[in-house]
Amino acid sequence: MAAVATRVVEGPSFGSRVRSVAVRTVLVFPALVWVAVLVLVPNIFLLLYSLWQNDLGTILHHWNVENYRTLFGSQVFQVLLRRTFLIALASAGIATLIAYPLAFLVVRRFGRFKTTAALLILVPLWVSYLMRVFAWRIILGESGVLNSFLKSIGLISKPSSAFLYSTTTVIMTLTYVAIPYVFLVSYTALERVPRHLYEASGDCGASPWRTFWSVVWPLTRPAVVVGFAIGFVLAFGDYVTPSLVGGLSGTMLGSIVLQQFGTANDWPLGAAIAMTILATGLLFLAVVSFFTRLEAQIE
Amino acid sequence: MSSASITARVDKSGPSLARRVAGIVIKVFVGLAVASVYLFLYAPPIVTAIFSFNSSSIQTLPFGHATLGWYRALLNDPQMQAAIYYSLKIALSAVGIAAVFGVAFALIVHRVKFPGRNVFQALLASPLVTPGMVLGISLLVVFHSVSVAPGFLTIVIGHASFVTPLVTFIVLQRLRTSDPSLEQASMDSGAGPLRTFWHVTLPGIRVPLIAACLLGFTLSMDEITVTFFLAGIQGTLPVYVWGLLRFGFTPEVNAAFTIIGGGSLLLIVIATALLVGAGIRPGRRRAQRRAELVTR
Repeated sequence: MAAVATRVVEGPSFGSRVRSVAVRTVLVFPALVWVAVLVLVPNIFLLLYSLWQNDLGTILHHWNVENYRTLFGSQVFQVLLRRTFLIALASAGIATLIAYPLAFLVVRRFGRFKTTAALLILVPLWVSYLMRVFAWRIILGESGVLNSFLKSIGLISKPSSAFLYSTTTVIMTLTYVAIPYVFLVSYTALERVPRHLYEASGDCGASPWRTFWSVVWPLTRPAVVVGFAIGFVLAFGDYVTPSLVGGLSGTMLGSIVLQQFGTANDWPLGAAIAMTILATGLLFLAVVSFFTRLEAQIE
Repeated sequence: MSSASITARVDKSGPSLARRVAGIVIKVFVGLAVASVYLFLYAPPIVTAIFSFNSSSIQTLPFGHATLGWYRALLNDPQMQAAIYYSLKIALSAVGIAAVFGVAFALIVHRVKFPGRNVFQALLASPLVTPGMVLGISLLVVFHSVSVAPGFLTIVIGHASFVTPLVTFIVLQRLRTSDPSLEQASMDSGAGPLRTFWHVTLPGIRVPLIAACLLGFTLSMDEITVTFFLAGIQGTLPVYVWGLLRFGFTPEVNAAFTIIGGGSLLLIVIATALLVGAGIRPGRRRAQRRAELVTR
Protein backbone atom coordinates (compact mmCIF):
# COMPACT_ATOMS: atom_id res chain seq x y z
CA MET A 1 0.00 0.00 0.00
CA ALA A 2 2.70 2.38 1.08
CA ALA A 3 4.83 1.32 -1.84
CA VAL A 4 2.03 2.14 -4.23
CA ALA A 5 1.61 5.55 -2.70
CA THR A 6 5.29 6.42 -2.97
CA ARG A 7 5.37 5.27 -6.53
CA VAL A 8 2.46 7.45 -7.43
CA VAL A 9 3.99 10.47 -5.79
CA GLU A 10 7.65 10.19 -6.72
CA GLY A 11 7.88 7.60 -9.52
CA PRO A 12 10.48 4.85 -9.26
CA SER A 13 13.59 5.91 -7.37
CA PHE A 14 16.89 6.23 -9.18
CA GLY A 15 18.17 3.06 -7.53
CA SER A 16 15.26 0.90 -8.64
CA ARG A 17 15.45 2.30 -12.14
CA VAL A 18 19.12 1.36 -12.37
CA ARG A 19 18.30 -2.07 -10.97
CA SER A 20 15.55 -2.62 -13.54
CA VAL A 21 17.85 -1.60 -16.39
CA ALA A 22 20.52 -3.94 -15.01
CA VAL A 23 18.06 -6.84 -14.77
CA ARG A 24 16.86 -6.19 -18.29
CA THR A 25 20.41 -6.10 -19.60
CA VAL A 26 21.23 -9.42 -17.94
CA LEU A 27 18.08 -10.97 -19.40
CA VAL A 28 18.60 -9.66 -22.91
CA PHE A 29 22.35 -10.25 -23.03
CA PRO A 30 22.28 -13.96 -24.03
CA ALA A 31 19.82 -13.18 -26.81
CA LEU A 32 22.08 -10.45 -28.17
CA VAL A 33 25.10 -12.76 -27.98
CA TRP A 34 23.19 -15.41 -29.93
CA VAL A 35 22.28 -12.99 -32.69
CA ALA A 36 25.79 -11.53 -32.77
CA VAL A 37 27.51 -14.91 -32.97
CA LEU A 38 25.14 -16.68 -35.36
CA VAL A 39 23.98 -13.84 -37.58
CA LEU A 40 26.11 -10.71 -37.44
CA VAL A 41 29.60 -12.21 -37.17
CA PRO A 42 29.06 -14.80 -39.95
CA ASN A 43 27.79 -12.19 -42.37
CA ILE A 44 30.61 -9.80 -41.53
CA PHE A 45 33.14 -12.61 -41.98
CA LEU A 46 31.60 -13.46 -45.33
CA LEU A 47 32.07 -9.87 -46.40
CA LEU A 48 35.67 -9.84 -45.12
CA TYR A 49 36.50 -13.06 -46.93
CA SER A 50 35.17 -11.65 -50.15
CA LEU A 51 37.63 -8.75 -49.77
CA TRP A 52 40.63 -10.99 -49.08
CA GLN A 53 42.68 -12.90 -51.63
CA ASN A 54 43.32 -16.53 -52.30
CA ASP A 55 46.91 -17.64 -52.79
CA LEU A 56 47.20 -21.34 -53.62
CA GLY A 57 44.68 -22.32 -50.99
CA THR A 58 45.86 -19.98 -48.23
CA ILE A 59 44.18 -16.70 -47.56
CA LEU A 60 46.05 -13.43 -47.95
CA HIS A 61 44.62 -10.62 -45.85
CA HIS A 62 44.98 -7.95 -48.51
CA TRP A 63 42.00 -5.65 -48.58
CA ASN A 64 40.67 -4.95 -52.03
CA VAL A 65 37.80 -5.61 -54.39
CA GLU A 66 39.90 -7.74 -56.72
CA ASN A 67 37.50 -10.72 -56.36
CA TYR A 68 34.55 -8.65 -57.45
CA ARG A 69 36.54 -7.18 -60.33
CA THR A 70 37.49 -10.69 -61.46
CA LEU A 71 33.88 -11.80 -61.21
CA PHE A 72 32.25 -8.95 -63.06
CA GLY A 73 34.99 -9.00 -65.68
CA SER A 74 34.33 -12.65 -66.38
CA GLN A 75 32.03 -13.55 -69.24
CA VAL A 76 30.99 -16.81 -67.57
CA PHE A 77 29.98 -15.07 -64.36
CA GLN A 78 27.92 -12.48 -66.21
CA VAL A 79 26.08 -15.14 -68.18
CA LEU A 80 25.44 -17.16 -65.02
CA LEU A 81 24.30 -14.15 -63.03
CA ARG A 82 21.82 -13.16 -65.73
CA ARG A 83 20.63 -16.72 -66.16
CA THR A 84 20.25 -17.29 -62.42
CA PHE A 85 18.30 -14.05 -62.09
CA LEU A 86 15.99 -14.93 -64.98
CA ILE A 87 15.46 -18.50 -63.77
CA ALA A 88 14.61 -17.29 -60.25
CA LEU A 89 12.32 -14.59 -61.65
CA ALA A 90 10.52 -17.04 -63.95
CA SER A 91 10.07 -19.79 -61.39
CA ALA A 92 8.88 -17.44 -58.63
CA GLY A 93 6.56 -15.71 -61.13
CA ILE A 94 5.02 -18.93 -62.44
CA ALA A 95 4.67 -20.30 -58.90
CA THR A 96 2.82 -17.11 -57.91
CA LEU A 97 0.56 -17.32 -60.98
CA ILE A 98 -0.38 -20.86 -59.97
CA ALA A 99 -0.45 -20.60 -56.18
CA TYR A 100 -2.34 -17.33 -55.72
CA PRO A 101 -5.39 -18.22 -57.86
CA LEU A 102 -5.34 -21.65 -56.26
CA ALA A 103 -5.35 -20.11 -52.79
CA PHE A 104 -8.23 -17.85 -53.88
CA LEU A 105 -10.24 -20.83 -55.09
CA VAL A 106 -9.50 -22.81 -51.94
CA VAL A 107 -10.56 -19.94 -49.67
CA ARG A 108 -13.68 -19.00 -51.64
CA ARG A 109 -14.93 -22.27 -53.07
CA PHE A 110 -13.80 -25.20 -50.94
CA GLY A 111 -16.14 -24.55 -48.02
CA ARG A 112 -15.44 -26.82 -45.10
CA PHE A 113 -12.70 -28.69 -47.00
CA LYS A 114 -10.69 -25.50 -47.14
CA THR A 115 -8.25 -26.34 -44.33
CA THR A 116 -7.70 -29.86 -45.59
CA ALA A 117 -7.10 -28.63 -49.14
CA ALA A 118 -4.62 -26.04 -47.86
CA LEU A 119 -2.74 -28.58 -45.71
CA LEU A 120 -2.51 -30.94 -48.69
CA ILE A 121 -0.65 -28.25 -50.62
CA LEU A 122 1.82 -27.78 -47.76
CA VAL A 123 2.51 -31.46 -47.09
CA PRO A 124 5.09 -31.85 -49.90
CA LEU A 125 7.23 -29.23 -48.14
CA TRP A 126 8.07 -31.86 -45.59
CA VAL A 127 8.88 -34.62 -47.98
CA SER A 128 12.64 -34.63 -48.41
CA TYR A 129 13.75 -31.80 -50.67
CA LEU A 130 16.40 -33.94 -52.33
CA MET A 131 13.87 -36.62 -53.04
CA ARG A 132 11.36 -34.23 -54.57
CA VAL A 133 13.99 -32.85 -56.92
CA PHE A 134 15.51 -36.22 -57.70
CA ALA A 135 12.11 -37.75 -58.45
CA TRP A 136 11.80 -35.31 -61.37
CA ARG A 137 14.81 -37.02 -62.85
CA ILE A 138 12.98 -40.35 -62.67
CA ILE A 139 9.90 -38.75 -64.24
CA LEU A 140 11.53 -36.67 -66.96
CA GLY A 141 14.51 -38.85 -67.90
CA GLU A 142 15.01 -40.33 -71.34
CA SER A 143 13.50 -43.66 -70.26
CA GLY A 144 11.48 -42.06 -67.48
CA VAL A 145 7.85 -42.16 -66.54
CA LEU A 146 6.76 -39.30 -68.81
CA ASN A 147 8.47 -40.69 -71.91
CA SER A 148 7.06 -44.17 -71.33
CA PHE A 149 3.61 -42.70 -70.88
CA LEU A 150 3.79 -40.54 -74.01
CA LYS A 151 5.08 -43.51 -75.99
CA SER A 152 2.35 -45.81 -74.76
CA ILE A 153 -0.38 -43.41 -75.85
CA GLY A 154 1.37 -42.99 -79.18
CA LEU A 155 2.16 -39.30 -78.90
CA ILE A 156 5.86 -39.80 -79.57
CA SER A 157 7.56 -42.65 -81.40
CA LYS A 158 10.89 -42.69 -79.60
CA PRO A 159 11.88 -41.41 -76.14
CA SER A 160 12.84 -37.77 -76.09
CA SER A 161 15.76 -36.46 -74.09
CA ALA A 162 14.39 -32.95 -74.27
CA PHE A 163 12.60 -33.04 -70.90
CA LEU A 164 15.66 -33.29 -68.68
CA TYR A 165 18.83 -31.23 -68.27
CA SER A 166 17.70 -27.87 -69.57
CA THR A 167 16.90 -24.40 -68.27
CA THR A 168 13.21 -25.24 -68.61
CA THR A 169 13.58 -28.26 -66.34
CA VAL A 170 15.30 -26.14 -63.71
CA ILE A 171 12.54 -23.52 -63.91
CA MET A 172 9.86 -26.17 -63.63
CA THR A 173 11.49 -27.86 -60.64
CA LEU A 174 12.08 -24.58 -58.83
CA THR A 175 8.47 -23.60 -59.54
CA TYR A 176 7.49 -26.90 -58.02
CA VAL A 177 9.56 -26.14 -54.93
CA ALA A 178 8.18 -22.59 -54.57
CA ILE A 179 4.44 -23.30 -54.98
CA PRO A 180 3.76 -24.40 -51.38
CA TYR A 181 5.50 -21.31 -49.94
CA VAL A 182 3.66 -18.84 -52.16
CA PHE A 183 0.45 -20.70 -51.48
CA LEU A 184 0.92 -20.54 -47.70
CA VAL A 185 1.46 -16.78 -47.71
CA SER A 186 -1.37 -16.08 -50.20
CA TYR A 187 -3.77 -18.35 -48.35
CA THR A 188 -3.12 -16.68 -45.00
CA ALA A 189 -3.74 -13.24 -46.51
CA LEU A 190 -6.86 -14.24 -48.46
CA GLU A 191 -8.33 -15.91 -45.42
CA ARG A 192 -8.06 -12.67 -43.50
CA VAL A 193 -10.23 -10.77 -46.00
CA PRO A 194 -13.62 -10.70 -44.28
CA ARG A 195 -16.48 -12.25 -46.21
CA HIS A 196 -18.67 -9.17 -45.80
CA LEU A 197 -16.30 -7.18 -48.01
CA TYR A 198 -17.16 -9.47 -50.93
CA GLU A 199 -20.85 -9.13 -50.12
CA ALA A 200 -20.71 -5.37 -49.77
CA SER A 201 -18.89 -5.02 -53.06
CA GLY A 202 -21.40 -7.29 -54.78
CA ASP A 203 -24.32 -5.40 -53.25
CA CYS A 204 -22.91 -2.18 -54.66
CA GLY A 205 -23.19 -3.74 -58.09
CA ALA A 206 -19.57 -4.69 -58.69
CA SER A 207 -18.97 -7.78 -60.76
CA PRO A 208 -16.89 -10.56 -59.12
CA TRP A 209 -14.05 -9.48 -61.40
CA ARG A 210 -14.28 -5.87 -60.24
CA THR A 211 -14.60 -6.99 -56.60
CA PHE A 212 -11.39 -8.91 -56.99
CA TRP A 213 -9.39 -6.07 -58.56
CA SER A 214 -10.74 -3.25 -56.38
CA VAL A 215 -11.11 -5.02 -53.04
CA VAL A 216 -9.33 -8.33 -52.69
CA TRP A 217 -6.18 -7.68 -54.70
CA PRO A 218 -5.21 -4.41 -52.96
CA LEU A 219 -5.61 -6.13 -49.59
CA THR A 220 -3.61 -9.24 -50.45
CA ARG A 221 -1.01 -7.81 -52.80
CA PRO A 222 1.70 -7.31 -50.16
CA ALA A 223 1.39 -10.96 -49.11
CA VAL A 224 1.67 -12.07 -52.72
CA VAL A 225 4.84 -10.03 -52.99
CA VAL A 226 6.25 -11.69 -49.88
CA GLY A 227 5.44 -15.10 -51.34
CA PHE A 228 6.97 -14.17 -54.66
CA ALA A 229 10.08 -12.86 -52.90
CA ILE A 230 10.46 -16.07 -50.87
CA GLY A 231 10.23 -18.08 -54.09
CA PHE A 232 12.79 -15.82 -55.74
CA VAL A 233 15.32 -16.01 -52.90
CA LEU A 234 14.92 -19.79 -52.61
CA ALA A 235 15.57 -20.24 -56.31
CA PHE A 236 18.34 -17.67 -56.53
CA GLY A 237 20.56 -19.38 -53.95
CA ASP A 238 19.85 -22.96 -54.92
CA TYR A 239 22.52 -25.37 -56.06
CA VAL A 240 20.83 -28.71 -55.47
CA THR A 241 18.21 -28.38 -58.20
CA PRO A 242 20.49 -27.15 -60.99
CA SER A 243 23.06 -29.85 -60.34
CA LEU A 244 20.45 -32.62 -60.26
CA VAL A 245 18.21 -31.67 -63.18
CA GLY A 246 19.96 -28.77 -64.89
CA GLY A 247 22.79 -30.32 -66.85
CA LEU A 248 25.20 -27.89 -68.45
CA SER A 249 22.67 -25.39 -69.79
CA GLY A 250 20.95 -25.22 -66.40
CA THR A 251 24.03 -24.33 -64.33
CA MET A 252 23.40 -21.52 -61.85
CA LEU A 253 25.49 -19.30 -59.59
CA GLY A 254 25.14 -21.72 -56.68
CA SER A 255 27.01 -24.39 -58.58
CA ILE A 256 30.10 -22.23 -59.02
CA VAL A 257 30.06 -21.22 -55.34
CA LEU A 258 30.16 -24.91 -54.56
CA GLN A 259 33.12 -25.26 -56.92
CA GLN A 260 35.06 -22.45 -55.20
CA PHE A 261 34.58 -24.09 -51.82
CA GLY A 262 35.30 -27.55 -53.25
CA THR A 263 37.63 -28.41 -56.08
CA ALA A 264 38.73 -24.87 -56.96
CA ASN A 265 39.49 -24.14 -53.28
CA ASP A 266 39.23 -20.37 -53.66
CA TRP A 267 37.17 -19.35 -50.64
CA PRO A 268 37.47 -15.60 -51.08
CA LEU A 269 36.12 -15.80 -54.62
CA GLY A 270 33.33 -18.12 -53.45
CA ALA A 271 32.52 -15.65 -50.66
CA ALA A 272 32.35 -12.85 -53.22
CA ILE A 273 29.83 -14.83 -55.28
CA ALA A 274 27.81 -15.60 -52.15
CA MET A 275 27.85 -11.89 -51.25
CA THR A 276 26.63 -11.10 -54.77
CA ILE A 277 23.78 -13.58 -54.31
CA LEU A 278 22.89 -12.09 -50.93
CA ALA A 279 23.08 -8.50 -52.19
CA THR A 280 21.03 -9.25 -55.30
CA GLY A 281 18.42 -10.97 -53.17
CA LEU A 282 18.18 -8.04 -50.74
CA LEU A 283 18.15 -5.46 -53.53
CA PHE A 284 15.43 -7.35 -55.34
CA LEU A 285 13.33 -7.58 -52.17
CA ALA A 286 13.76 -3.86 -51.53
CA VAL A 287 12.69 -2.92 -55.07
CA VAL A 288 9.75 -5.29 -55.14
CA SER A 289 8.44 -4.24 -51.75
CA PHE A 290 8.90 -0.56 -52.63
CA PHE A 291 6.63 -0.89 -55.65
CA THR A 292 3.96 -2.84 -53.87
CA ARG A 293 3.50 -0.95 -50.64
CA LEU A 294 0.33 -1.65 -48.73
CA GLU A 295 -2.52 0.46 -50.08
CA ALA A 296 -5.17 -0.61 -47.63
CA GLN A 297 -5.39 -2.45 -44.36
CA ILE A 298 -7.87 -4.90 -42.94
CA GLU A 299 -9.26 -3.46 -39.76
CA MET B 1 -34.36 -3.20 -52.55
CA SER B 2 -35.35 -6.79 -51.80
CA SER B 3 -38.52 -6.54 -53.85
CA ALA B 4 -36.49 -5.28 -56.81
CA SER B 5 -34.16 -8.24 -56.64
CA ILE B 6 -37.10 -10.62 -56.41
CA THR B 7 -38.79 -9.15 -59.50
CA ALA B 8 -35.52 -9.28 -61.33
CA ARG B 9 -35.18 -12.95 -60.51
CA VAL B 10 -38.75 -13.67 -61.56
CA ASP B 11 -38.33 -11.78 -64.83
CA LYS B 12 -35.25 -13.74 -65.83
CA SER B 13 -36.69 -17.10 -64.81
CA GLY B 14 -33.18 -18.51 -64.34
CA PRO B 15 -30.14 -18.35 -66.57
CA SER B 16 -30.44 -19.58 -70.13
CA LEU B 17 -29.33 -23.06 -71.12
CA ALA B 18 -26.27 -21.76 -72.96
CA ARG B 19 -25.22 -19.88 -69.89
CA ARG B 20 -25.66 -22.87 -67.66
CA VAL B 21 -23.58 -25.03 -70.00
CA ALA B 22 -20.87 -22.38 -70.07
CA GLY B 23 -20.90 -22.32 -66.27
CA ILE B 24 -20.47 -26.09 -66.09
CA VAL B 25 -17.66 -26.01 -68.65
CA ILE B 26 -15.83 -23.36 -66.65
CA LYS B 27 -16.31 -25.34 -63.45
CA VAL B 28 -14.95 -28.52 -65.02
CA PHE B 29 -12.03 -26.61 -66.46
CA VAL B 30 -11.17 -24.98 -63.13
CA GLY B 31 -11.60 -28.31 -61.36
CA LEU B 32 -9.18 -29.97 -63.75
CA ALA B 33 -6.68 -27.15 -63.30
CA VAL B 34 -6.82 -27.50 -59.50
CA ALA B 35 -6.51 -31.28 -59.73
CA SER B 36 -3.49 -30.96 -62.01
CA VAL B 37 -1.72 -28.72 -59.49
CA TYR B 38 -2.24 -31.35 -56.81
CA LEU B 39 -1.01 -34.03 -59.23
CA PHE B 40 2.05 -31.88 -60.00
CA LEU B 41 2.80 -31.54 -56.28
CA TYR B 42 2.32 -35.18 -55.44
CA ALA B 43 3.84 -36.86 -58.50
CA PRO B 44 7.46 -36.85 -57.23
CA PRO B 45 6.88 -38.35 -53.78
CA ILE B 46 4.47 -40.93 -55.17
CA VAL B 47 6.88 -41.91 -57.94
CA THR B 48 9.69 -42.33 -55.40
CA ALA B 49 7.53 -44.46 -53.14
CA ILE B 50 6.46 -46.66 -56.07
CA PHE B 51 10.00 -47.08 -57.33
CA SER B 52 11.18 -48.13 -53.87
CA PHE B 53 9.20 -51.34 -54.44
CA ASN B 54 10.51 -51.86 -57.98
CA SER B 55 12.87 -54.82 -58.37
CA SER B 56 14.81 -53.29 -61.28
CA SER B 57 17.80 -51.24 -60.19
CA ILE B 58 17.45 -48.82 -63.14
CA GLN B 59 15.03 -45.99 -62.48
CA THR B 60 12.91 -46.50 -65.58
CA LEU B 61 9.71 -48.06 -66.78
CA PRO B 62 8.67 -50.76 -67.43
CA PHE B 63 8.32 -51.81 -63.84
CA GLY B 64 10.03 -55.03 -62.74
CA HIS B 65 8.18 -56.95 -60.07
CA ALA B 66 7.24 -55.68 -56.65
CA THR B 67 9.82 -56.31 -53.97
CA LEU B 68 10.82 -55.31 -50.47
CA GLY B 69 14.42 -56.01 -51.40
CA TRP B 70 15.56 -52.40 -51.25
CA TYR B 71 14.21 -52.03 -47.74
CA ARG B 72 16.04 -55.20 -46.78
CA ALA B 73 19.21 -53.87 -48.41
CA LEU B 74 18.75 -50.68 -46.41
CA LEU B 75 18.72 -52.67 -43.19
CA ASN B 76 22.02 -54.28 -44.17
CA ASP B 77 23.80 -51.13 -45.31
CA PRO B 78 26.07 -49.92 -42.49
CA GLN B 79 26.97 -46.62 -44.23
CA MET B 80 23.36 -45.66 -44.78
CA GLN B 81 22.52 -46.62 -41.22
CA ALA B 82 25.41 -44.60 -39.88
CA ALA B 83 24.13 -41.61 -41.85
CA ILE B 84 20.57 -42.04 -40.56
CA TYR B 85 21.81 -42.44 -36.98
CA TYR B 86 24.02 -39.34 -37.34
CA SER B 87 21.11 -37.33 -38.74
CA LEU B 88 18.89 -38.37 -35.84
CA LYS B 89 21.58 -37.43 -33.31
CA ILE B 90 22.05 -34.03 -34.92
CA ALA B 91 18.34 -33.34 -35.23
CA LEU B 92 17.74 -34.25 -31.57
CA SER B 93 20.64 -32.07 -30.36
CA ALA B 94 19.67 -29.10 -32.54
CA VAL B 95 16.04 -29.32 -31.48
CA GLY B 96 17.07 -29.61 -27.82
CA ILE B 97 19.14 -26.43 -28.06
CA ALA B 98 16.44 -24.71 -30.09
CA ALA B 99 13.72 -25.60 -27.59
CA VAL B 100 15.61 -24.08 -24.64
CA PHE B 101 16.83 -20.94 -26.42
CA GLY B 102 13.70 -20.57 -28.54
CA VAL B 103 11.46 -20.42 -25.48
CA ALA B 104 13.87 -18.13 -23.66
CA PHE B 105 13.99 -15.70 -26.61
CA ALA B 106 10.22 -15.81 -27.00
CA LEU B 107 9.83 -14.87 -23.32
CA ILE B 108 12.44 -12.12 -23.62
CA VAL B 109 10.83 -10.63 -26.72
CA HIS B 110 7.40 -10.89 -25.15
CA ARG B 111 8.22 -9.56 -21.65
CA VAL B 112 11.30 -7.39 -21.74
CA LYS B 113 11.14 -4.04 -23.45
CA PHE B 114 14.54 -3.12 -24.79
CA PRO B 115 15.69 -0.77 -27.50
CA GLY B 116 16.10 -2.46 -30.86
CA ARG B 117 13.68 -5.27 -30.09
CA ASN B 118 12.34 -5.31 -33.64
CA VAL B 119 15.84 -5.34 -35.08
CA PHE B 120 16.65 -8.25 -32.78
CA GLN B 121 13.61 -10.17 -34.02
CA ALA B 122 14.48 -9.54 -37.66
CA LEU B 123 18.09 -10.64 -37.12
CA LEU B 124 17.00 -13.72 -35.18
CA ALA B 125 14.66 -14.70 -38.01
CA SER B 126 17.14 -14.06 -40.79
CA PRO B 127 18.68 -17.60 -40.88
CA LEU B 128 15.18 -18.87 -41.68
CA VAL B 129 15.07 -16.85 -44.90
CA THR B 130 18.71 -16.54 -46.01
CA PRO B 131 19.54 -18.92 -48.84
CA GLY B 132 20.94 -22.06 -47.21
CA MET B 133 24.12 -21.80 -49.21
CA VAL B 134 24.91 -18.31 -47.89
CA LEU B 135 24.12 -19.34 -44.31
CA GLY B 136 26.30 -22.44 -44.65
CA ILE B 137 29.26 -20.58 -46.12
CA SER B 138 29.07 -17.69 -43.66
CA LEU B 139 29.12 -20.12 -40.72
CA LEU B 140 31.88 -22.15 -42.37
CA VAL B 141 34.21 -19.16 -42.68
CA VAL B 142 33.65 -18.30 -39.00
CA PHE B 143 34.33 -21.86 -37.85
CA HIS B 144 37.37 -21.96 -40.09
CA SER B 145 38.72 -18.69 -38.68
CA VAL B 146 38.49 -19.95 -35.10
CA SER B 147 39.87 -23.37 -36.18
CA VAL B 148 36.80 -25.44 -35.36
CA ALA B 149 36.92 -28.51 -37.60
CA PRO B 150 33.68 -29.30 -39.42
CA GLY B 151 31.74 -32.10 -37.79
CA PHE B 152 28.98 -32.82 -35.32
CA LEU B 153 29.25 -29.53 -33.42
CA THR B 154 29.29 -27.31 -36.49
CA ILE B 155 26.25 -29.02 -38.03
CA VAL B 156 24.30 -28.81 -34.77
CA ILE B 157 25.06 -25.10 -34.45
CA GLY B 158 24.10 -24.56 -38.09
CA HIS B 159 20.78 -26.31 -37.62
CA ALA B 160 20.07 -24.64 -34.29
CA SER B 161 20.54 -21.26 -35.99
CA PHE B 162 17.37 -21.74 -38.05
CA VAL B 163 15.33 -24.08 -35.80
CA THR B 164 15.59 -21.69 -32.84
CA PRO B 165 13.80 -18.77 -34.55
CA LEU B 166 11.14 -21.23 -35.69
CA VAL B 167 10.50 -22.22 -32.06
CA THR B 168 10.67 -18.59 -30.93
CA PHE B 169 8.06 -17.34 -33.37
CA ILE B 170 5.63 -20.22 -32.91
CA VAL B 171 5.81 -19.90 -29.11
CA LEU B 172 5.63 -16.11 -29.32
CA GLN B 173 2.39 -16.41 -31.26
CA ARG B 174 0.88 -18.27 -28.32
CA LEU B 175 2.32 -15.95 -25.66
CA ARG B 176 0.72 -12.96 -27.38
CA THR B 177 -2.73 -14.49 -27.15
CA SER B 178 -2.31 -15.89 -23.64
CA ASP B 179 -3.74 -14.31 -20.54
CA PRO B 180 -1.09 -12.47 -18.48
CA SER B 181 -3.28 -12.49 -15.36
CA LEU B 182 -2.53 -16.18 -14.82
CA GLU B 183 1.13 -15.47 -14.24
CA GLN B 184 0.42 -12.38 -12.20
CA ALA B 185 -1.92 -14.45 -10.02
CA SER B 186 0.77 -17.03 -9.54
CA MET B 187 3.37 -14.40 -8.62
CA ASP B 188 0.94 -12.59 -6.34
CA SER B 189 0.33 -15.83 -4.50
CA GLY B 190 3.99 -16.04 -3.67
CA ALA B 191 5.30 -18.39 -6.33
CA GLY B 192 8.74 -17.31 -7.51
CA PRO B 193 9.52 -16.66 -11.19
CA LEU B 194 10.90 -20.18 -11.64
CA ARG B 195 7.91 -21.87 -10.05
CA THR B 196 5.56 -19.68 -12.06
CA PHE B 197 7.40 -20.58 -15.25
CA TRP B 198 7.31 -24.27 -14.48
CA HIS B 199 3.70 -24.49 -13.33
CA VAL B 200 1.96 -21.77 -15.34
CA THR B 201 3.93 -20.49 -18.33
CA LEU B 202 5.37 -23.77 -19.57
CA PRO B 203 2.09 -25.75 -19.48
CA GLY B 204 0.50 -22.85 -21.38
CA ILE B 205 3.00 -22.99 -24.25
CA ARG B 206 3.52 -26.75 -24.19
CA VAL B 207 1.43 -27.53 -27.26
CA PRO B 208 3.00 -24.97 -29.64
CA LEU B 209 6.42 -25.88 -28.24
CA ILE B 210 5.98 -29.56 -29.05
CA ALA B 211 4.61 -28.72 -32.48
CA ALA B 212 7.54 -26.38 -33.19
CA CYS B 213 10.01 -29.05 -32.05
CA LEU B 214 8.45 -31.60 -34.40
CA LEU B 215 8.61 -29.14 -37.31
CA GLY B 216 12.20 -28.28 -36.43
CA PHE B 217 13.09 -31.95 -36.22
CA THR B 218 11.85 -32.65 -39.75
CA LEU B 219 13.58 -29.51 -41.06
CA SER B 220 16.85 -30.63 -39.50
CA MET B 221 16.51 -34.21 -40.79
CA ASP B 222 16.00 -32.92 -44.33
CA GLU B 223 18.48 -30.05 -44.40
CA ILE B 224 21.17 -30.24 -47.06
CA THR B 225 22.22 -26.80 -48.33
CA VAL B 226 23.59 -25.60 -44.97
CA THR B 227 24.76 -29.02 -43.80
CA PHE B 228 26.77 -29.66 -46.94
CA PHE B 229 29.28 -26.96 -45.98
CA LEU B 230 29.40 -27.81 -42.27
CA ALA B 231 29.74 -31.59 -42.45
CA GLY B 232 33.04 -33.33 -41.85
CA ILE B 233 33.87 -36.85 -43.02
CA GLN B 234 30.64 -38.35 -41.71
CA GLY B 235 27.69 -36.84 -43.58
CA THR B 236 24.09 -36.62 -42.49
CA LEU B 237 21.59 -38.70 -44.44
CA PRO B 238 20.81 -36.00 -47.05
CA VAL B 239 24.53 -35.26 -47.55
CA TYR B 240 25.30 -38.97 -47.90
CA VAL B 241 22.42 -39.44 -50.34
CA TRP B 242 23.51 -36.34 -52.27
CA GLY B 243 26.79 -38.14 -52.89
CA LEU B 244 24.94 -41.28 -53.96
CA LEU B 245 22.66 -39.38 -56.34
CA ARG B 246 25.65 -38.18 -58.26
CA PHE B 247 27.87 -41.25 -58.06
CA GLY B 248 26.42 -44.70 -57.61
CA PHE B 249 22.70 -44.41 -57.06
CA THR B 250 20.79 -47.49 -55.88
CA PRO B 251 17.03 -47.74 -55.30
CA GLU B 252 17.88 -48.10 -51.62
CA VAL B 253 17.81 -44.33 -51.68
CA ASN B 254 14.15 -44.46 -52.73
CA ALA B 255 13.45 -46.81 -49.84
CA ALA B 256 15.27 -44.53 -47.37
CA PHE B 257 13.39 -41.47 -48.68
CA THR B 258 10.07 -43.27 -48.48
CA ILE B 259 10.71 -44.18 -44.86
CA ILE B 260 11.91 -40.68 -43.96
CA GLY B 261 9.07 -39.07 -45.95
CA GLY B 262 6.52 -41.27 -44.23
CA GLY B 263 8.07 -40.52 -40.83
CA SER B 264 8.09 -36.77 -41.50
CA LEU B 265 4.48 -36.85 -42.61
CA LEU B 266 3.55 -38.65 -39.42
CA LEU B 267 5.35 -36.00 -37.33
CA ILE B 268 3.69 -33.24 -39.36
CA VAL B 269 0.24 -34.71 -38.87
CA ILE B 270 0.91 -34.87 -35.13
CA ALA B 271 2.25 -31.30 -35.07
CA THR B 272 -0.70 -29.96 -37.07
CA ALA B 273 -3.20 -31.81 -34.96
CA LEU B 274 -1.54 -30.30 -31.89
CA LEU B 275 -1.54 -26.77 -33.35
CA VAL B 276 -5.00 -26.52 -34.90
CA GLY B 277 -6.77 -29.37 -33.20
CA ALA B 278 -8.57 -29.51 -29.91
CA GLY B 279 -5.21 -29.72 -28.18
CA ILE B 280 -5.19 -25.96 -27.72
CA ARG B 281 -8.00 -25.77 -25.24
CA PRO B 282 -7.33 -28.66 -22.86
CA GLY B 283 -3.74 -27.48 -22.52
CA ARG B 284 -4.91 -24.04 -21.64
CA ARG B 285 -7.52 -25.30 -19.21
CA ARG B 286 -4.89 -27.43 -17.53
CA ALA B 287 -2.64 -24.43 -17.23
CA GLN B 288 -5.50 -22.53 -15.72
CA ARG B 289 -6.18 -25.32 -13.26
CA ARG B 290 -2.52 -25.38 -12.28
CA ALA B 291 -2.58 -21.66 -11.82
CA GLU B 292 -5.56 -22.07 -9.57
CA LEU B 293 -3.72 -24.73 -7.58
CA VAL B 294 -0.69 -22.52 -7.22
CA THR B 295 -2.75 -19.58 -6.15
CA ARG B 296 -4.65 -21.57 -3.59
